[in-house]
Amino acid sequence: MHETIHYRLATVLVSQPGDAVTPAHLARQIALVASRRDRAAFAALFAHFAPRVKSYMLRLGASAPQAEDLTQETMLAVWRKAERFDPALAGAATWVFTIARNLRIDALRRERPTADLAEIAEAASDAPEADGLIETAQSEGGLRAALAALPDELATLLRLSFFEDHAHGDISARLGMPLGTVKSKLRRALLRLRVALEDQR
Amino acid sequence: MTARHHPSDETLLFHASGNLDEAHRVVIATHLAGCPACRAAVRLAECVGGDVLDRLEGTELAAGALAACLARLDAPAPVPVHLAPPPGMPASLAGYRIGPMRRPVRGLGIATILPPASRRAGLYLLEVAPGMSMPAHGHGGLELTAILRGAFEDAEGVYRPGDLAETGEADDHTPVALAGETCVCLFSVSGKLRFQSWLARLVQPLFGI
Ligand SMILES: [Zn+2]
Repeated sequence: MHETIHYRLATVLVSQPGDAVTPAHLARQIALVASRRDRAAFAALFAHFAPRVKSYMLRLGASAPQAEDLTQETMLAVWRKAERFDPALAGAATWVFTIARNLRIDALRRERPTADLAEIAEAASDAPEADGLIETAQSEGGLRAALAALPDELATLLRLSFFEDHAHGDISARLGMPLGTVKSKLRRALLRLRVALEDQR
Repeated sequence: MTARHHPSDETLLFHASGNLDEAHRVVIATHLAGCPACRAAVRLAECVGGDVLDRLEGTELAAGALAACLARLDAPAPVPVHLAPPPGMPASLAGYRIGPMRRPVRGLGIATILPPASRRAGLYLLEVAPGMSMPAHGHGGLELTAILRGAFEDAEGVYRPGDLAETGEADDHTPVALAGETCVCLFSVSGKLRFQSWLARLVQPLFGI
Protein backbone atom coordinates (compact mmCIF):
# COMPACT_ATOMS: atom_id res chain seq x y z
CA MET A 1 0.00 0.00 0.00
CA HIS A 2 2.73 2.44 0.91
CA GLU A 3 4.61 1.66 -2.24
CA THR A 4 1.52 2.55 -4.24
CA ILE A 5 1.20 5.82 -2.42
CA HIS A 6 4.79 6.71 -2.99
CA TYR A 7 4.55 5.79 -6.61
CA ARG A 8 1.53 8.08 -6.86
CA LEU A 9 3.31 10.76 -4.94
CA ALA A 10 6.02 10.66 -7.55
CA THR A 11 3.57 11.08 -10.40
CA VAL A 12 1.57 13.84 -8.76
CA LEU A 13 4.47 15.84 -7.49
CA VAL A 14 7.07 15.57 -10.17
CA SER A 15 7.67 19.25 -10.48
CA GLN A 16 8.74 21.08 -7.43
CA PRO A 17 7.10 24.42 -6.82
CA GLY A 18 8.74 27.68 -7.56
CA ASP A 19 10.55 27.38 -10.86
CA ALA A 20 11.33 31.08 -10.58
CA VAL A 21 7.74 32.22 -11.15
CA THR A 22 6.34 33.39 -7.84
CA PRO A 23 2.60 33.46 -7.05
CA ALA A 24 2.85 37.22 -6.57
CA HIS A 25 4.38 37.58 -10.03
CA LEU A 26 1.55 35.56 -11.58
CA ALA A 27 -1.05 37.62 -9.71
CA ARG A 28 0.56 40.79 -11.13
CA GLN A 29 0.30 39.38 -14.66
CA ILE A 30 -3.41 38.76 -14.16
CA ALA A 31 -3.79 42.33 -12.86
CA LEU A 32 -2.02 43.61 -16.00
CA VAL A 33 -4.38 41.65 -18.22
CA ALA A 34 -7.29 43.13 -16.29
CA SER A 35 -6.08 46.73 -16.27
CA ARG A 36 -4.70 47.11 -19.79
CA ARG A 37 -5.36 43.92 -21.76
CA ASP A 38 -1.62 43.26 -21.69
CA ARG A 39 -0.82 40.50 -24.19
CA ALA A 40 2.75 40.01 -22.97
CA ALA A 41 1.40 39.40 -19.46
CA PHE A 42 -1.12 36.98 -20.93
CA ALA A 43 1.62 35.12 -22.80
CA ALA A 44 3.52 34.77 -19.51
CA LEU A 45 0.41 33.35 -17.86
CA PHE A 46 -0.07 31.01 -20.80
CA ALA A 47 3.51 29.79 -20.56
CA HIS A 48 3.10 29.01 -16.88
CA PHE A 49 -0.43 27.66 -16.70
CA ALA A 50 -1.40 26.18 -20.07
CA PRO A 51 0.95 23.15 -19.89
CA ARG A 52 -0.17 22.49 -16.31
CA VAL A 53 -3.85 22.77 -17.19
CA LYS A 54 -3.28 20.33 -20.04
CA SER A 55 -1.67 17.86 -17.64
CA TYR A 56 -4.57 18.34 -15.24
CA MET A 57 -7.12 17.51 -17.95
CA LEU A 58 -5.11 14.52 -19.17
CA ARG A 59 -4.77 13.17 -15.64
CA LEU A 60 -8.54 13.35 -15.31
CA GLY A 61 -9.05 11.21 -18.37
CA ALA A 62 -9.44 13.73 -21.18
CA SER A 63 -8.12 12.71 -24.59
CA ALA A 64 -5.22 14.76 -25.95
CA PRO A 65 -7.45 16.85 -28.26
CA GLN A 66 -9.99 17.41 -25.45
CA ALA A 67 -7.22 18.41 -23.06
CA GLU A 68 -5.87 20.82 -25.65
CA ASP A 69 -9.34 22.34 -26.20
CA LEU A 70 -10.11 22.66 -22.51
CA THR A 71 -6.72 24.30 -21.98
CA GLN A 72 -7.49 26.86 -24.70
CA GLU A 73 -10.89 27.53 -23.14
CA THR A 74 -9.34 27.91 -19.70
CA MET A 75 -6.77 30.41 -20.90
CA LEU A 76 -9.39 32.32 -22.87
CA ALA A 77 -11.48 32.54 -19.68
CA VAL A 78 -8.40 33.83 -17.82
CA TRP A 79 -8.26 36.66 -20.37
CA ARG A 80 -11.98 37.41 -20.23
CA LYS A 81 -12.46 37.11 -16.48
CA ALA A 82 -9.22 38.79 -15.37
CA GLU A 83 -11.16 41.74 -13.89
CA ARG A 84 -12.87 39.36 -11.54
CA PHE A 85 -9.62 38.03 -10.12
CA ASP A 86 -9.34 39.19 -6.53
CA PRO A 87 -5.98 38.35 -4.94
CA ALA A 88 -7.57 38.72 -1.51
CA LEU A 89 -9.87 35.77 -2.26
CA ALA A 90 -7.63 33.42 -4.20
CA GLY A 91 -4.06 33.08 -5.40
CA ALA A 92 -3.38 32.97 -9.14
CA ALA A 93 -3.04 29.17 -9.25
CA THR A 94 -6.20 28.66 -7.18
CA TRP A 95 -8.14 30.99 -9.46
CA VAL A 96 -6.94 29.24 -12.62
CA PHE A 97 -7.66 25.89 -10.99
CA THR A 98 -11.30 26.84 -10.36
CA ILE A 99 -11.71 28.03 -13.96
CA ALA A 100 -10.23 24.80 -15.33
CA ARG A 101 -12.31 22.68 -12.97
CA ASN A 102 -15.55 24.46 -13.94
CA LEU A 103 -14.87 24.18 -17.66
CA ARG A 104 -14.19 20.49 -17.27
CA ILE A 105 -17.44 20.06 -15.34
CA ASP A 106 -19.34 21.93 -18.06
CA ALA A 107 -17.77 19.77 -20.75
CA LEU A 108 -18.77 16.60 -18.95
CA ARG A 109 -22.25 17.72 -18.08
CA ARG A 110 -25.14 16.05 -19.77
CA GLU A 111 -26.25 17.96 -22.83
CA ARG A 112 -28.40 20.59 -21.20
CA PRO A 113 -27.89 24.24 -20.46
CA THR A 114 -27.50 24.93 -16.78
CA ALA A 115 -26.33 27.89 -14.82
CA ASP A 116 -22.75 28.08 -13.62
CA LEU A 117 -22.81 26.63 -10.12
CA ALA A 118 -19.60 28.34 -9.18
CA GLU A 119 -21.10 31.71 -10.07
CA ILE A 120 -24.17 31.01 -7.98
CA ALA A 121 -21.96 30.20 -5.01
CA GLU A 122 -19.87 33.29 -5.73
CA ALA A 123 -22.91 35.53 -5.87
CA ALA A 124 -23.96 34.31 -2.44
CA SER A 125 -20.57 34.78 -0.86
CA ASP A 126 -20.39 38.50 -0.11
CA ALA A 127 -19.95 37.84 3.59
CA PRO A 128 -16.30 38.10 4.64
CA GLU A 129 -14.59 34.88 5.59
CA ALA A 130 -15.04 34.36 9.27
CA ASP A 131 -11.88 32.49 10.11
CA GLY A 132 -9.11 34.15 8.09
CA LEU A 133 -7.62 30.76 7.21
CA ILE A 134 -7.95 31.47 3.50
CA GLU A 135 -5.78 34.56 3.83
CA THR A 136 -3.12 32.54 5.56
CA ALA A 137 -3.40 29.80 2.95
CA GLN A 138 -2.98 32.34 0.16
CA SER A 139 -0.16 34.22 1.81
CA GLU A 140 3.25 33.58 0.29
CA GLY A 141 4.12 29.98 1.07
CA GLY A 142 1.40 29.65 3.69
CA LEU A 143 -0.42 26.69 2.22
CA ARG A 144 2.79 24.98 1.13
CA ALA A 145 4.11 25.16 4.68
CA ALA A 146 0.84 23.81 6.05
CA LEU A 147 0.81 20.95 3.54
CA ALA A 148 4.44 20.21 4.34
CA ALA A 149 3.45 19.87 7.98
CA LEU A 150 1.10 16.99 7.14
CA PRO A 151 2.32 13.41 7.22
CA ASP A 152 3.22 12.36 3.67
CA GLU A 153 0.40 9.90 3.41
CA LEU A 154 -2.27 12.46 4.30
CA ALA A 155 -0.86 15.14 2.01
CA THR A 156 -0.73 12.66 -0.84
CA LEU A 157 -4.29 11.48 -0.31
CA LEU A 158 -5.43 15.09 -0.23
CA ARG A 159 -3.77 15.75 -3.59
CA LEU A 160 -4.98 12.49 -5.07
CA SER A 161 -8.56 13.44 -4.25
CA PHE A 162 -8.30 16.01 -7.05
CA PHE A 163 -7.81 13.26 -9.61
CA GLU A 164 -10.26 10.59 -8.57
CA ASP A 165 -13.97 10.19 -8.80
CA HIS A 166 -15.64 10.32 -5.44
CA ALA A 167 -18.76 8.32 -5.97
CA HIS A 168 -17.13 5.16 -7.16
CA GLY A 169 -14.35 4.86 -4.68
CA ASP A 170 -11.60 5.20 -7.29
CA ILE A 171 -9.01 6.26 -4.74
CA SER A 172 -9.98 3.46 -2.47
CA ALA A 173 -9.71 0.91 -5.29
CA ARG A 174 -6.40 2.28 -6.42
CA LEU A 175 -4.82 2.33 -3.01
CA GLY A 176 -6.44 -0.87 -1.83
CA MET A 177 -7.92 0.98 1.15
CA PRO A 178 -11.56 0.68 2.21
CA LEU A 179 -13.59 3.76 1.24
CA GLY A 180 -14.35 4.47 4.89
CA THR A 181 -10.63 4.59 5.64
CA VAL A 182 -9.99 6.94 2.74
CA LYS A 183 -12.75 9.24 3.97
CA SER A 184 -11.57 9.32 7.55
CA LYS A 185 -7.99 9.96 6.44
CA LEU A 186 -9.14 12.81 4.21
CA ARG A 187 -11.12 14.25 7.08
CA ARG A 188 -8.04 14.06 9.29
CA ALA A 189 -5.91 15.64 6.56
CA LEU A 190 -8.27 18.63 6.27
CA LEU A 191 -8.43 19.03 10.03
CA ARG A 192 -4.64 18.98 10.33
CA LEU A 193 -4.32 21.40 7.45
CA ARG A 194 -6.55 23.84 9.32
CA VAL A 195 -4.56 23.39 12.50
CA ALA A 196 -1.29 23.94 10.62
CA LEU A 197 -2.69 27.16 9.09
CA GLU A 198 -3.91 28.35 12.46
CA ASP A 199 -0.46 27.74 13.92
CA GLN A 200 0.98 30.12 11.35
CA ARG A 201 -1.19 32.99 12.45
CA MET B 1 -30.49 31.41 9.29
CA THR B 2 -27.49 29.40 10.35
CA ALA B 3 -27.42 25.80 9.23
CA ARG B 4 -26.91 23.21 11.94
CA HIS B 5 -26.24 20.18 9.77
CA HIS B 6 -23.50 20.33 7.17
CA PRO B 7 -21.86 18.10 4.57
CA SER B 8 -18.75 16.26 5.75
CA ASP B 9 -15.36 17.85 5.12
CA GLU B 10 -14.44 15.15 2.64
CA THR B 11 -17.61 15.72 0.64
CA LEU B 12 -16.83 19.44 0.50
CA LEU B 13 -13.32 18.52 -0.65
CA PHE B 14 -14.73 16.42 -3.50
CA HIS B 15 -17.08 19.25 -4.36
CA ALA B 16 -14.11 21.62 -4.58
CA SER B 17 -12.11 19.18 -6.67
CA GLY B 18 -14.95 18.89 -9.19
CA ASN B 19 -15.17 15.15 -8.68
CA LEU B 20 -18.68 14.86 -7.26
CA ASP B 21 -21.50 13.68 -9.48
CA GLU B 22 -23.69 16.42 -10.88
CA ALA B 23 -26.66 15.37 -8.71
CA HIS B 24 -24.62 15.66 -5.51
CA ARG B 25 -23.06 18.88 -6.71
CA VAL B 26 -26.47 20.53 -7.06
CA VAL B 27 -27.49 19.52 -3.54
CA ILE B 28 -24.20 20.78 -2.09
CA ALA B 29 -24.53 24.05 -4.02
CA THR B 30 -28.00 24.49 -2.49
CA HIS B 31 -26.48 24.26 0.97
CA LEU B 32 -23.44 26.44 0.13
CA ALA B 33 -25.64 29.32 -0.97
CA GLY B 34 -26.76 29.72 2.64
CA CYS B 35 -23.69 28.54 4.55
CA PRO B 36 -20.61 30.77 4.80
CA ALA B 37 -18.77 28.20 6.94
CA CYS B 38 -18.99 25.51 4.26
CA ARG B 39 -18.12 28.03 1.55
CA ALA B 40 -14.93 28.79 3.49
CA ALA B 41 -14.15 25.07 3.68
CA VAL B 42 -14.61 24.77 -0.09
CA ARG B 43 -12.35 27.77 -0.64
CA LEU B 44 -9.64 26.19 1.46
CA ALA B 45 -9.90 22.98 -0.54
CA GLU B 46 -9.67 25.05 -3.73
CA CYS B 47 -6.39 26.48 -2.43
CA VAL B 48 -5.13 22.90 -2.25
CA GLY B 49 -6.36 22.52 -5.84
CA GLY B 50 -4.28 25.53 -6.82
CA ASP B 51 -1.24 23.93 -5.23
CA VAL B 52 -1.96 20.65 -7.02
CA LEU B 53 -2.19 22.45 -10.36
CA ASP B 54 0.97 24.42 -9.72
CA ARG B 55 2.97 21.31 -8.93
CA LEU B 56 1.91 19.34 -11.97
CA GLU B 57 4.60 18.82 -14.51
CA GLY B 58 3.40 20.57 -17.65
CA THR B 59 2.52 18.77 -20.86
CA GLU B 60 3.69 20.43 -24.03
CA LEU B 61 0.91 22.00 -26.04
CA ALA B 62 0.33 21.51 -29.74
CA ALA B 63 2.50 23.68 -31.97
CA GLY B 64 1.00 27.13 -32.36
CA ALA B 65 -1.28 26.81 -29.32
CA LEU B 66 -0.33 30.21 -27.92
CA ALA B 67 -0.74 31.90 -31.31
CA ALA B 68 -4.13 30.22 -31.73
CA CYS B 69 -5.19 31.44 -28.31
CA LEU B 70 -3.91 34.99 -28.91
CA ALA B 71 -5.87 35.06 -32.17
CA ARG B 72 -9.06 34.35 -30.27
CA LEU B 73 -8.61 36.98 -27.56
CA ASP B 74 -10.46 39.71 -29.41
CA ALA B 75 -13.39 37.56 -30.46
CA PRO B 76 -16.53 38.63 -28.61
CA ALA B 77 -17.13 36.61 -25.45
CA PRO B 78 -20.20 34.43 -25.55
CA VAL B 79 -23.18 36.19 -24.01
CA PRO B 80 -23.90 34.51 -20.67
CA VAL B 81 -27.24 32.75 -20.61
CA HIS B 82 -29.44 33.75 -17.73
CA LEU B 83 -31.40 30.78 -16.59
CA ALA B 84 -34.04 30.95 -13.92
CA PRO B 85 -34.71 28.13 -11.49
CA PRO B 86 -38.17 26.54 -11.60
CA PRO B 87 -40.70 28.60 -9.56
CA GLY B 88 -40.12 28.41 -5.82
CA MET B 89 -36.83 26.53 -6.24
CA PRO B 90 -33.32 27.62 -5.17
CA ALA B 91 -30.84 29.19 -7.60
CA SER B 92 -28.84 25.95 -7.69
CA LEU B 93 -31.65 24.49 -9.84
CA ALA B 94 -31.38 27.21 -12.48
CA GLY B 95 -31.71 25.59 -15.88
CA TYR B 96 -32.98 22.29 -14.50
CA ARG B 97 -36.37 20.87 -15.28
CA ILE B 98 -38.31 19.08 -12.60
CA GLY B 99 -40.19 16.03 -13.86
CA PRO B 100 -43.84 15.39 -13.04
CA MET B 101 -44.58 14.94 -9.33
CA ARG B 102 -45.72 11.39 -8.81
CA ARG B 103 -47.57 10.28 -5.73
CA PRO B 104 -47.21 6.58 -5.21
CA VAL B 105 -48.80 6.77 -1.77
CA ARG B 106 -50.70 9.40 0.17
CA GLY B 107 -48.35 11.91 1.69
CA LEU B 108 -45.37 11.26 -0.55
CA GLY B 109 -44.38 13.00 -3.77
CA ILE B 110 -41.36 12.21 -5.93
CA ALA B 111 -40.21 14.12 -8.99
CA THR B 112 -37.09 13.24 -10.95
CA ILE B 113 -34.69 16.05 -11.83
CA LEU B 114 -31.75 13.95 -13.03
CA PRO B 115 -32.41 10.28 -13.62
CA PRO B 116 -29.75 7.91 -12.31
CA ALA B 117 -27.43 6.37 -14.85
CA SER B 118 -24.97 3.53 -14.57
CA ARG B 119 -22.24 5.59 -12.95
CA ARG B 120 -24.26 8.68 -12.09
CA ALA B 121 -26.24 9.63 -9.04
CA GLY B 122 -29.91 10.54 -9.41
CA LEU B 123 -31.43 13.83 -8.26
CA TYR B 124 -35.02 14.09 -7.00
CA LEU B 125 -37.41 16.53 -5.45
CA LEU B 126 -39.27 14.95 -2.55
CA GLU B 127 -42.42 16.09 -0.79
CA VAL B 128 -43.08 14.30 2.45
CA ALA B 129 -46.20 14.98 4.48
CA PRO B 130 -45.91 15.49 8.26
CA GLY B 131 -45.48 12.19 10.05
CA MET B 132 -44.45 10.29 6.94
CA SER B 133 -41.00 8.73 6.85
CA MET B 134 -38.60 9.51 4.04
CA PRO B 135 -38.93 6.80 1.45
CA ALA B 136 -35.45 5.65 0.63
CA HIS B 137 -31.90 5.03 1.66
CA GLY B 138 -28.97 4.73 -0.64
CA HIS B 139 -26.77 1.92 0.48
CA GLY B 140 -23.30 1.63 -0.86
CA GLY B 141 -23.21 5.23 -1.95
CA LEU B 142 -23.37 8.83 -0.92
CA GLU B 143 -26.81 10.24 -0.13
CA LEU B 144 -27.43 13.96 0.33
CA THR B 145 -30.62 15.74 1.35
CA ALA B 146 -31.02 19.53 1.34
CA ILE B 147 -34.13 20.72 3.13
CA LEU B 148 -36.00 23.44 1.26
CA ARG B 149 -39.18 23.71 3.35
CA GLY B 150 -40.63 22.05 6.43
CA ALA B 151 -38.45 19.88 8.65
CA PHE B 152 -37.58 16.28 9.40
CA GLU B 153 -36.00 14.48 12.27
CA ASP B 154 -33.77 11.46 12.63
CA ALA B 155 -31.37 10.13 15.26
CA GLU B 156 -29.00 13.02 14.54
CA GLY B 157 -31.57 15.68 15.32
CA VAL B 158 -33.94 18.03 13.53
CA TYR B 159 -33.19 19.23 10.01
CA ARG B 160 -34.63 22.53 8.83
CA PRO B 161 -34.37 24.61 5.64
CA GLY B 162 -30.70 25.32 4.91
CA ASP B 163 -29.56 22.12 6.61
CA LEU B 164 -27.94 19.28 4.75
CA ALA B 165 -28.17 15.63 5.74
CA GLU B 166 -25.35 13.43 4.54
CA THR B 167 -25.62 9.70 4.93
CA GLY B 168 -23.38 6.99 3.69
CA GLU B 169 -23.32 3.28 3.24
CA ALA B 170 -23.32 2.44 6.94
CA ASP B 171 -26.36 4.43 7.99
CA ASP B 172 -29.67 2.82 8.61
CA HIS B 173 -31.91 5.42 10.09
CA THR B 174 -35.45 6.51 9.47
CA PRO B 175 -35.98 10.23 9.02
CA VAL B 176 -39.55 11.37 9.65
CA ALA B 177 -41.14 14.63 8.46
CA LEU B 178 -42.19 16.81 11.40
CA ALA B 179 -45.65 18.17 12.06
CA GLY B 180 -46.61 21.37 10.27
CA GLU B 181 -45.62 22.14 6.72
CA THR B 182 -44.97 19.44 4.11
CA CYS B 183 -41.25 18.74 4.03
CA VAL B 184 -39.73 19.54 0.64
CA CYS B 185 -36.18 18.35 -0.06
CA LEU B 186 -33.67 17.95 -2.80
CA PHE B 187 -32.30 14.44 -2.63
CA SER B 188 -29.32 12.94 -4.46
CA VAL B 189 -28.21 9.37 -4.21
CA SER B 190 -25.63 7.14 -5.81
CA GLY B 191 -25.61 3.40 -5.58
CA LYS B 192 -28.58 1.16 -5.21
CA LEU B 193 -31.54 2.37 -3.24
CA ARG B 194 -33.13 0.25 -0.57
CA PHE B 195 -36.65 1.16 0.36
CA GLN B 196 -38.49 0.31 3.48
CA SER B 197 -40.70 -2.72 3.31
CA TRP B 198 -44.06 -2.20 1.61
CA LEU B 199 -43.11 1.22 0.34
CA ALA B 200 -40.39 -0.41 -1.68
CA ARG B 201 -42.62 -2.14 -4.16
CA LEU B 202 -44.61 1.01 -4.73
CA VAL B 203 -41.78 3.45 -5.05
CA GLN B 204 -38.94 1.45 -6.55
CA PRO B 205 -40.04 1.75 -10.20
CA LEU B 206 -40.33 5.52 -9.88
CA PHE B 207 -36.66 5.87 -9.07
CA GLY B 208 -35.74 3.91 -12.14
CA ILE B 209 -33.38 1.63 -10.28
ZN1 LIG C 1 -22.64 24.24 5.95
